[in-house]
Amino acid sequence: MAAPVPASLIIENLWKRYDGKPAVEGLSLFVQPGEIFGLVGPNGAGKTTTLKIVVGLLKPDYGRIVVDGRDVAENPFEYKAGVGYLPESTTLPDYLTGLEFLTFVGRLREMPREALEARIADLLRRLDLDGPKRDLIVTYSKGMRQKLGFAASVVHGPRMLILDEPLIGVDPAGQHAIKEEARAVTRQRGAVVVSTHMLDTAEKLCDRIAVVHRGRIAAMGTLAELRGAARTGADSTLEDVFLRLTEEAAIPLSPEPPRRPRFPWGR
Amino acid sequence: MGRIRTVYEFKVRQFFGPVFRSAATIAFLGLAGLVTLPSVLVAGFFLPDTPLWRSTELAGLFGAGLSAFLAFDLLFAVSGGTLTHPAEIDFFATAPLRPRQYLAADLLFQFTVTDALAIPVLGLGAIGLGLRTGNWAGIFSSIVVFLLFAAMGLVLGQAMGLAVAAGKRGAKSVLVAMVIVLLLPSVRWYSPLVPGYAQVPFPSTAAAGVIAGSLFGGDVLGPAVEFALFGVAILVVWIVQSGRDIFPNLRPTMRVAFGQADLRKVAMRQEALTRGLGRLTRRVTVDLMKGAPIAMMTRFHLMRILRDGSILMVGLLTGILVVIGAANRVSSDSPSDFSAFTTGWTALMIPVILSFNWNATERANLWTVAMAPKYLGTYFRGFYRAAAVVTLVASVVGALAGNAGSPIGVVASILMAFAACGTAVTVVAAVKIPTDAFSLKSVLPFLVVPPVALAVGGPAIAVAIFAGSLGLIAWPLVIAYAVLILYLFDRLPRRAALRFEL
Repeated sequence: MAAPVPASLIIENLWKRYDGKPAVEGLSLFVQPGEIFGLVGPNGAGKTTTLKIVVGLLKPDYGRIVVDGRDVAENPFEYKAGVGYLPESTTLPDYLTGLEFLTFVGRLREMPREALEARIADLLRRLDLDGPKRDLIVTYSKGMRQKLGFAASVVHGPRMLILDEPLIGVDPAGQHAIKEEARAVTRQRGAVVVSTHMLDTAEKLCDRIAVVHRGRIAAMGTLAELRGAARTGADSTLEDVFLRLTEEAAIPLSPEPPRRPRFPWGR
Repeated sequence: MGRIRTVYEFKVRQFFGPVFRSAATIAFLGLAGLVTLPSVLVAGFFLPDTPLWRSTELAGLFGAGLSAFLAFDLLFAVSGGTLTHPAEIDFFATAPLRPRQYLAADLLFQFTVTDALAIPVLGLGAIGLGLRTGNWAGIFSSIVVFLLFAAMGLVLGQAMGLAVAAGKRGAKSVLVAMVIVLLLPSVRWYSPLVPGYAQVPFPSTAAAGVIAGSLFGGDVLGPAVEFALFGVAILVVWIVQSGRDIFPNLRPTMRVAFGQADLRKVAMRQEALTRGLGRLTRRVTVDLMKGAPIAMMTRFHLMRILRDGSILMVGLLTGILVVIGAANRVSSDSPSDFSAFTTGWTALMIPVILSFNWNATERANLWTVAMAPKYLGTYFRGFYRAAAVVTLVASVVGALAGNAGSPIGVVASILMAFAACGTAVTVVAAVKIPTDAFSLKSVLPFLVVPPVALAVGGPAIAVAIFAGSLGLIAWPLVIAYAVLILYLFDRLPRRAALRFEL
């Protein structure tokens, strides 16, 4: 699959199994600079596994990942400087304050002190966490924790933002702030990948969407292109498209990944 | 260095967070320190008066202690070798951090929480000992060697843990083999065929040699060279391991902060550790379709105890029982009721732990049983029986390691175990115990179980002591009492189930 311009993210023929059970089976996609890219799919489709591989929290069995022109296999650490990640279920250190936690994350990202302070203040204000910033995280509600996790993922101004179910449990104002921050990344020619079950959000937020089913891309493109692929009509929603595509995508599975690994850590 | 410091500070801040945030906790810890630290000073002063100090096998005993210490480090390594908060995986492992930076910070943190906090205690003990013996140089050297050894254990544990977490073929087997080899020389206390700690070249015995040499005079250079060589070898292993991309293998092993007694989190950690030991717990299955309801419930609870991590604490307590048994065996050639009693007394903690774990992990799931109230009593009776089986097995292992005591003494211990199980299950069935920290209710099993068990075991112990005077009536008396106790405690949990609240 060729990208027309240098892509922010290229995933080529990605494979991953857990104890022999397939999670990702030959998944390929690319994300352009300035684009918000959505991953939708049923539970267990392989979305989270794919994102975890991209951010270096899982090793693939096979495949190639290129972030901002850098092959992750060649240097699995440096590329992370430009990546921000919000996991699906965020676990935060209960006995730090929100401010302390963001400061630690920013210092780890080696941000200059003044820039870090200004950035944290800005994020806390926009995410409506300014008031409780000196409260212990243990006192935060689920939505506040999610917003704090999001702030931690963008505190360093990433060029590639990976969000796994970012809006779950967040109030409408918080959702709006998170979406705005994601769009801000794309305005800087960065890219955002969002995995979500909230199809209406994906429909409104994402420039392109991939429907993932059984570890593969069932269809990928703009909503109009997906409608065409699913033959659901011009007025159909993403939900209609999703249901049709996941129903149709019951394609026979390949039994094994390719034998010769392209990653040095491949089996 | 900056990133190492940041990660280290984060770990310290989040781990000691509850202490930093509570004046009451700081005051409590300060008070505890004021009460206990002077006693360490006194203990150090009188240490030369103890039989231990005059033992001809002191180097071997030091070696045994340090080997157990090292074995513990290696056992901890099964869970991944690092102390990692889940947030570190999500937000640190996805930052451009080098594995060696992270691992160095983790080692510093592990040293802080496991060993550095012991420095004031060691220091005060050393001052007491120094005041008595005047051998300041030897004592200081011994402490330095001990701390170096402790650090060495952490480095080895982390390196081995990373290999296990990375799924390296044979790494877990090597780890288990190392633990067995480290503990094997203790068999010499039972059989002269096995070489003792003084005869085997371990890092622990080398450190013990240096410590014994420093404190009592003798060859220090030989063991010191041996110790240094082990140190270099372990460092090389760590350098190799820490050069790899370890982040995909990091496991969230630190969910509980210092002083935080969230029993649910403790139970989750135990469960995670059990998973780290392999698939053993998943492979053992029981057929829940067979047998009467009470048999099914008992088997269900046995399986749950194996899978929810409770078995780890049972194993630890059984190890303590074995050590107590061995100590009793070494100190006495004849069976003693005291031995049986101490074994039984220690075994009481098993039902207490089982009830705590049940309360933390299983209580909330009980809506399934509560929907069929007919079986609620059977559920708790099954729990009681399963706890009794586990406690008895542990007690028997402990008794076999030591002197079993007189038959009536053994019966007393068994009755205590049954009473403890019945009481522990009754308490958690009848009282809704919170799983968060520092509430009186949350320590209720600790407060109630031992006195009840002691009260139940007491009459049998009395019969054992006065067996000579009682003559032929002793055994019928004990048997009748045992039947009564077993009947009573088999029914108590069922009655308590009537008061159960989700």
